[in-house]
Amino acid sequence: MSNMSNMSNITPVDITVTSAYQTKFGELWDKSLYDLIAETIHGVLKNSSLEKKDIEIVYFANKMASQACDQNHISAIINQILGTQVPVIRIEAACASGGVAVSQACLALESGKYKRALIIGAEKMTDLPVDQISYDLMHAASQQERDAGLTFVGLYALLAKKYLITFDATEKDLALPSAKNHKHAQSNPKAQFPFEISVEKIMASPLVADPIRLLHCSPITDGAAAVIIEKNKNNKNKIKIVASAQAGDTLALSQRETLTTLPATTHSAQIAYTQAGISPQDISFAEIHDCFSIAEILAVEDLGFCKKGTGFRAMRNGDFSMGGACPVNISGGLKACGHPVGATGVKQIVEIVTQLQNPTHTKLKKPLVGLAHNIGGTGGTAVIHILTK
Amino acid sequence: MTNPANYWRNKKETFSHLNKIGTLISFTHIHNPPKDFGKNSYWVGIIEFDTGNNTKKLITGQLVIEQSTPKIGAQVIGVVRKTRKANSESVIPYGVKFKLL
Repeated sequence: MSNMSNMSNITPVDITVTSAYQTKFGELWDKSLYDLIAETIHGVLKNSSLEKKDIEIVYFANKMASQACDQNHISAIINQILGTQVPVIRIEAACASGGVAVSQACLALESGKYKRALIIGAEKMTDLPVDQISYDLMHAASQQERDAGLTFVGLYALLAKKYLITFDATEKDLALPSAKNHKHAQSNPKAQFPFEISVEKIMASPLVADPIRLLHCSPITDGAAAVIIEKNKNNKNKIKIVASAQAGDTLALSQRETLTTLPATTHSAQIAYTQAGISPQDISFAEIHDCFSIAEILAVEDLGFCKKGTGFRAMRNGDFSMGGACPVNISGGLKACGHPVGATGVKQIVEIVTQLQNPTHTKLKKPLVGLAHNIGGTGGTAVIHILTK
Repeated sequence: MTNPANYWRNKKETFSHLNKIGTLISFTHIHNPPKDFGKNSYWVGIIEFDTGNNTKKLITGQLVIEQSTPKIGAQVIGVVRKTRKANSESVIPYGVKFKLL
């Protein structure tokens, strides 16, 4: 564990979430990136009592608009939609773009310079063929990893292979998070794949990069999500962000201290729990970055929900299913909802806000505390937010 | 590396582990190659090299698998191979793959 006395970012966070919105996630052939952003801005404002002119600053999360849509300088598009001249900051941190955008917006409000921020995460991926998308996603990996012909599935397969051998887990254990998240997604109309898939079907799906199979992988998705946050004195009974922590690590897996932990997760979790004044066991439910099922198994350990090397046993036990000690990915996670890269981190906040407003499970630990965990690449960036009501 | 300048800049690092023997730390079998890596499956691993004074260096690279399947802990040696498809702009992309001993 890091020496907390060296960290300056452990003071409490107190930000109100005023509004949240997400589009349907999926292969949205009839929607452009502009359409997704416009829908989200309209939707998040409609869910609040605010108007476009009330937004003081915007953070926009997106990974690959230049490759997928031939579009940069999207900040100006957002000004065009808002009809205002407020600053718009584009954030890119691979799959953690959304979480980092939320974190930066929190910092802007905590600084006292702004009272109200809009955060939008959006990605349009499905116009490109799959092998081109695989290639473009590898911009979030190192040159050596690209030159070796790795894909992101391959990178996480290297982690999965090491985990299975080190902790005596089985290939069936890799299927458990995917099956759980699909079961959860049945009640999420915004999910890309809101239906159950059995463990047997997952294990029978084709190998993509051994030991990772097709149905261990989150899909390629279009979608957008947004939240509006404010710095208020009077926020009793309102949904609050009480922790916002970002940490980083090496770009390449080969340069990491270990292949069975993502240190960026453990580091950011330590900061987040200190900011919120809680321990991992106080978390009622979590939205975790399951880009591949192994990522969820690693995360429940790295977040402190269970000991290192026991995540797969806790999954077998149902600890992270609805009805378990700490339901993970009630929305369906990245696997069943889809993973429009820049939108995911913001969508996780939208889902936690939705659950805090109307919990779908009465047995969630009280007081209700939700955690969002968003990872960039193979763990080069990790961002954690904790929310309460 | 899809352009000559990038290939030239990285030449020393690319061939730094030619003929060197290392240990396989993890590996995978890629069934869905990305663009420029053809259609056939291939193996990729993370290999650890002893650099002396109790220090190690880890490299990611493709594996050359001729008969036996790889295992974590296996010894490999760096050999010259063409690593990807050449496009019209780049030099022929030779590099180092790691062959099971």
